[in-house]
Amino acid sequence: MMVYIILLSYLAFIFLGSLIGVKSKDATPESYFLADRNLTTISLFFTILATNFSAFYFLGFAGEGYKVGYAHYVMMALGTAFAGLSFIILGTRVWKIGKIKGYITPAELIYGQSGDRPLSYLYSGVMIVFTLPYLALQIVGGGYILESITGGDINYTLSVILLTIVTIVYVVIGGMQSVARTDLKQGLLMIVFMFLAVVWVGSDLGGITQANKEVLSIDSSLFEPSGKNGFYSGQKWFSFLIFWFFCIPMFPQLFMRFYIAKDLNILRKSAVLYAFIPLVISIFPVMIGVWGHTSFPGLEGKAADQILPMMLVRHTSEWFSALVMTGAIAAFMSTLDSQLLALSTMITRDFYVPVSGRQPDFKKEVLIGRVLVAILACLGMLIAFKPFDTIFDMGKMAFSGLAILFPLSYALIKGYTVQRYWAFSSVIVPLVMLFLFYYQVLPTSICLGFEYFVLIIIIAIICVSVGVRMANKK
Amino acid sequence: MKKWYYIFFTLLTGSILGFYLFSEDSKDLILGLPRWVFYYGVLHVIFVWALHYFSRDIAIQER
Repeated sequence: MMVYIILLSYLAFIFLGSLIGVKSKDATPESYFLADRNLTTISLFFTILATNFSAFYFLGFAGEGYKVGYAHYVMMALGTAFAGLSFIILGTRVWKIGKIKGYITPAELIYGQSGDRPLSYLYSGVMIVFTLPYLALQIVGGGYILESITGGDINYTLSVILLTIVTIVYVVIGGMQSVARTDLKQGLLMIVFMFLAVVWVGSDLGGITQANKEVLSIDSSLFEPSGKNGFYSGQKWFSFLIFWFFCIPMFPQLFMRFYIAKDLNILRKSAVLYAFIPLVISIFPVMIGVWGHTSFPGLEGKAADQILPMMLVRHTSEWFSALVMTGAIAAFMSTLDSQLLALSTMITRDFYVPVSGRQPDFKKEVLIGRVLVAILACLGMLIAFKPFDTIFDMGKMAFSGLAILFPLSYALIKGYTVQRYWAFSSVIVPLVMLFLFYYQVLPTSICLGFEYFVLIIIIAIICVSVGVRMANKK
Repeated sequence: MKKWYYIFFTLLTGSILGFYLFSEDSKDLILGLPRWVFYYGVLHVIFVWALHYFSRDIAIQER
């Protein structure tokens, strides 16, 4: 019973509270989709944080901590910090152009810079297609946890349906204003809860030092910089460190965050804060994951993704584990809502408006966006019914597809002209290679120990570079 | 050119720390964590510090 009280109170506080005041405002695309481009440093930082630290953070980090060890903490924290660098390199210019030209979606900017409508369709299409698995991943994570904290009373399928419906309702009503308010509360609570979870679980294991010593005696390779069984080789280190630099700014829900800063200084400060915070918060789930070897040895694959809820249930009280896990569910939902809002905006403005040749009035545009939110959420729910990989692998596939777009985005945003043929090639050739690698038609051995996405990104960079040279020659 | 100085400084420091970090014995724990994790923490803070100055230069350019 206590679990249900905590669950309902928490979700009401986080989500319903954020809707107060939103309905009274007139719905315009700028207010509904971009919160009037008026976010301050703290709001922008927390909305970026809560948008990006999701199921992947709570369950994925703990699961990989269990499988690989402390190397995963360094990999993710430093890698995420590099994303702060790309926010500054790319985001500042995106903010500036977006503000002058009034862009709302990433593809509007690409069209504005290139003047090539089919290229903007391709760009937006790739973003949408590769965000869908990541969107589904939030529903998968929420489903796992809701089933876990209710002791199976609400099974996985029902959990997935319930979470999807709640998210649809409040995104449809509130738009970006409610999303940003939710993210602020959610980001703060996420940090506090995960810190308390580490302290509590650590105490129950005899103290943090004792818990680590016990794991060290079980498997010392979890403490190696290269991870368990040398998982993170030099090539893998390199691969993952550059990976986040290329892919995180290409998440459409994050790309659109570049537009919503009130001024350039706010965006800059948020990016620096974003680079710092993973140093502190990434250790929490990884630590609990590593300690999982003391209580639940021998987990593999998808089972390891459940280590965080399992450890909380075993080592903390019922109410606390319900509180943290509800916080995790809210984190998934705060990522999911941003994704839904971003994708619905993109479909409306990047496809509906140019294809129909009509510019709908503001209210109709918002209405179309709301209908699309519901459709996309249901699509994500369908994928979540049959998740195809572990959370980490599902994320890696989605992120690789998005990272392909970085070189072209960079060139166009910086004002270079890319010859049309090479601009298309820079997206299509790496995409084909991604699928060939994913379905194991191409052997990963040709990557010489690097992750396949490194090769894919290099191909995209080469295509864009050649395209810029060819355009300059003309 | 100032921004490249910051980036160069971070990379140089990172490389030196990196060498030290990876040559450490992982069984040498501080507060229960391997010592190399703390070296990494220092590297991360230096990186953020460099990023702060780099971002200031970029913001001035963009204005």
